[in-house]
Amino acid sequence: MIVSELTPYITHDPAEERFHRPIGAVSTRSPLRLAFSDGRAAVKSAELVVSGDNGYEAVYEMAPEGGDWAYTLSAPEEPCVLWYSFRLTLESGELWLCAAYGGRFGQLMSTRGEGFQITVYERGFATPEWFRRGVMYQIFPDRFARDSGDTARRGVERHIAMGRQVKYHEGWDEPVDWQPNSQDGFYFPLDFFGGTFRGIEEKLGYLESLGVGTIYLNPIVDARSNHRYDAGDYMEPDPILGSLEDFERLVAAAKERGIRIMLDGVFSHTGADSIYFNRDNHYRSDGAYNAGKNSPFYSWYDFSKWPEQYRCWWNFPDLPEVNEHDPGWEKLVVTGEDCVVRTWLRRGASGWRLDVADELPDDTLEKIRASAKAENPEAAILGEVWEDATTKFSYGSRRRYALGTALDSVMNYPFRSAVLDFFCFRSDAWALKGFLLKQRLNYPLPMYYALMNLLSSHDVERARTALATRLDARGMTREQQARFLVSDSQDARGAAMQRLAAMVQFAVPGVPAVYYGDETGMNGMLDPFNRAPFTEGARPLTEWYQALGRLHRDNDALNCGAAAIFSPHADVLGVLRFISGGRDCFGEAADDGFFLAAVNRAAEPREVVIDLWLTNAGLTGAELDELRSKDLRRGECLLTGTECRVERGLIKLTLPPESARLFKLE
Amino acid sequence: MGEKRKTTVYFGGTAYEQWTERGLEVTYSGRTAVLAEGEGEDMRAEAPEPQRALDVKAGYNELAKCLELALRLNAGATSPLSQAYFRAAAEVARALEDHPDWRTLPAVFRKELSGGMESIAMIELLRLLLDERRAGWDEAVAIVRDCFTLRIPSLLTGAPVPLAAVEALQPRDAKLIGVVNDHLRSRLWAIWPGDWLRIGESAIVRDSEADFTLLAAALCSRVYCTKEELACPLRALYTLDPARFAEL
Repeated sequence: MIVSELTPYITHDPAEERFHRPIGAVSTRSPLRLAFSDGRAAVKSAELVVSGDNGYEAVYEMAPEGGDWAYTLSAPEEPCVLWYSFRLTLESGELWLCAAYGGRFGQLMSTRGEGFQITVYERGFATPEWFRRGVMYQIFPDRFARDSGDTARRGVERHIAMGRQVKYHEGWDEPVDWQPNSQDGFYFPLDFFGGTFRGIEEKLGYLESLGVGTIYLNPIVDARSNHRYDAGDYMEPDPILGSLEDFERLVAAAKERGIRIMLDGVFSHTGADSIYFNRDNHYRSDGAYNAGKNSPFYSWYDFSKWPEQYRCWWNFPDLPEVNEHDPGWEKLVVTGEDCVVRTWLRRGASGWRLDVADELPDDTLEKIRASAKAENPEAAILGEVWEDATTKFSYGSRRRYALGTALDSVMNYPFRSAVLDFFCFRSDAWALKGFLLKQRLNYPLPMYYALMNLLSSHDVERARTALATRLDARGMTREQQARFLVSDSQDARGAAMQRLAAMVQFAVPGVPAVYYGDETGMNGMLDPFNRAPFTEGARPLTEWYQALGRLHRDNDALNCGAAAIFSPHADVLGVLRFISGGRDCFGEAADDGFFLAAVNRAAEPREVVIDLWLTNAGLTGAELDELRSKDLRRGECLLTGTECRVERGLIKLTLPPESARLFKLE
Repeated sequence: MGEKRKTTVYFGGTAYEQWTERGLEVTYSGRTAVLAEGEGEDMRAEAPEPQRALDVKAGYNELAKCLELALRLNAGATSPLSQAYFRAAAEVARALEDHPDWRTLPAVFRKELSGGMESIAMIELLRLLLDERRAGWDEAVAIVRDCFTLRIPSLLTGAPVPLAAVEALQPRDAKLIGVVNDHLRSRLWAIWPGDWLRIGESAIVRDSEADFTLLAAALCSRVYCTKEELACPLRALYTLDPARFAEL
């Protein structure tokens, strides 16, 4: 039951330093002051009640402080996630001040409700600066670019020589296969278009023009399928993509342009057609399947009845799961001097994206991270996590992804959902702001600034298609998806909204991640339609993405500056980014600058006023003081040249229909 | 010279609200009536003509009350709010008398306010439209908005007005200020859901006192003010509805 009589007077807002100092997640053993207002002096006594997993609970007596009640606690020694609420004693009895409105604000209740989240992360947690500050470009290697030689054809011949079934598309513009092609009536991705390392290398100039700092490659190691999530040999690049020398050339050429390469580590399972399992006898190895207990890899797998019955990923027999605690697996993949993780870093990769991080135990994730950092302290570790990584609960326990010991970053699918919901008119700017602010408050700052903010990937429908059709492709069969044609008017709508979505993606803290072909306006439903060969759609946005990428790269404030989020209207979102004093949020040297991004999704112009001095928009007290101390007077849009005035933190803007602006403020 | 125009203005009493098939019916008891004569600053109060009643003594007492109030109004011995209410109520009542087609009132009745106590004219017009002309809420608010503009003087002087003081003059006006405040808070809630602290700071009514500058700013069609006012007291309203504001 909700009690409203004193609601306006007894409040708590975790985004206000008056109530939560510092705002956001805290590191272990650091002080945290929590408070609530008592505008009518109605509270007789108050307790701060902090709870956590496994029944943990602590109660602290609060004290009145200048009209508020407050308590300063010391964050725990160990990283964890906690929740807090306030138990109040009033003349009329006991009330609880608990989290409501998505955890954003306090709400008085007669019984205990949900708590506010505190993320306590490992002291000293740091993420690589190069990763935080760069634009990411995701490439599905078979589909990005062929080279001028015959690399792929030779690779296909090698696959065929091994006994594998392969289909090679002669034409780059052929549609992808999706029809059932296996005996059991399922589609298996055996069709290749022949993208190669050299093909990517030949396009590095183009990627540089997009401002790309990180290329994330879907799996590149030898495998049977075109997606290569069924690793055949972790140590060898797939010959269809090219040789190891080709890979190293690509890395070196990219490095010359300031671009790093991140690889996709598929460690929770291998392919059944692999050197380790060798179900199909395509390798000369003693695999767990074909050699049983004589195989050095037998203990990697769980056979309930050898050889046919074994544990596999989501019951796909082609993907047998491994025991991550098996010493042999651990040594070969994670911990050995020449393990997979370290070898590829030594070959020039700069980090790992960990496929299905949920399926990897926390201690394995931590070992992977430690191994990678031992090889290269600047290596980045990104996890495939689909939900809020700070609170994810799976396989019976709270996951430690975001606590500073396992991952540097995660794929921010919740960001994608929130942004697409806004631009598909399923939500409004206030909801989007609430979501963005919640991520600011709940993620450790080093991870928040490293979140992979994507709008598309190889696992979801392309942003253009989602925005154009406003359909949920998950409700469609492959046949329906194959037959679905995005109409011209739908594509026009999708393009208009994608421009704005990209602005949001490049304006908020985190790593803007562009899936190959999004910038050229490619459409595509779910796998495999989202993996078509790189081409140009009807309404390319390449110049738009190039402009955003260049601005992101060239202006430190846009890639590592403080951030505040505004929603002055249901259709308008604003994002302020700034650096002042020559240091970014992590104390690194950075150039000063003040920028305001604003988007209007409506088909009508919107006149709005953005209040930059809002005290609960995501800035710390010190950042707010710094912002207020600057006498910002005017702004000029770096994309259109339009100007605006600033008066005491207020900016009045008239935003044209479906428009995006990026003002440089002075 | 013709006879000066006289308009009845009621003070105090109790309002009774009853929802009927025709909508909200408001009746009053215990009100004190005075006649407003003249215009603007020259407006004077008079006691109404005595009505022959069955209860002569009661009639006499009633007249004495009216006369006393009229004398006090003329002598400036009532509160500034009472004075403001007297003039404002007479003025809007006359405007409506002169224009029976109240829907066209904004074409002929335009008034610039300064955000002080005279702003009660807006609420009084709102009351008359709702209670006596039976206008719908949105319609009445739109007419009030179009009849008034706000030009804030260089030095803001308006102090918050206790709602109880308004209620003592015209109970329905106090109630309607509360309703306007609720509407504003709803709009603020829509952009700051859950942010009670900010909504409270931006409300017209705080701690049972009404800020008449905010009230006028919330209801007027146009607000002329300085940058300073936009940046401070009107900040929330400005961000809510920037098109209505013009810088001086």
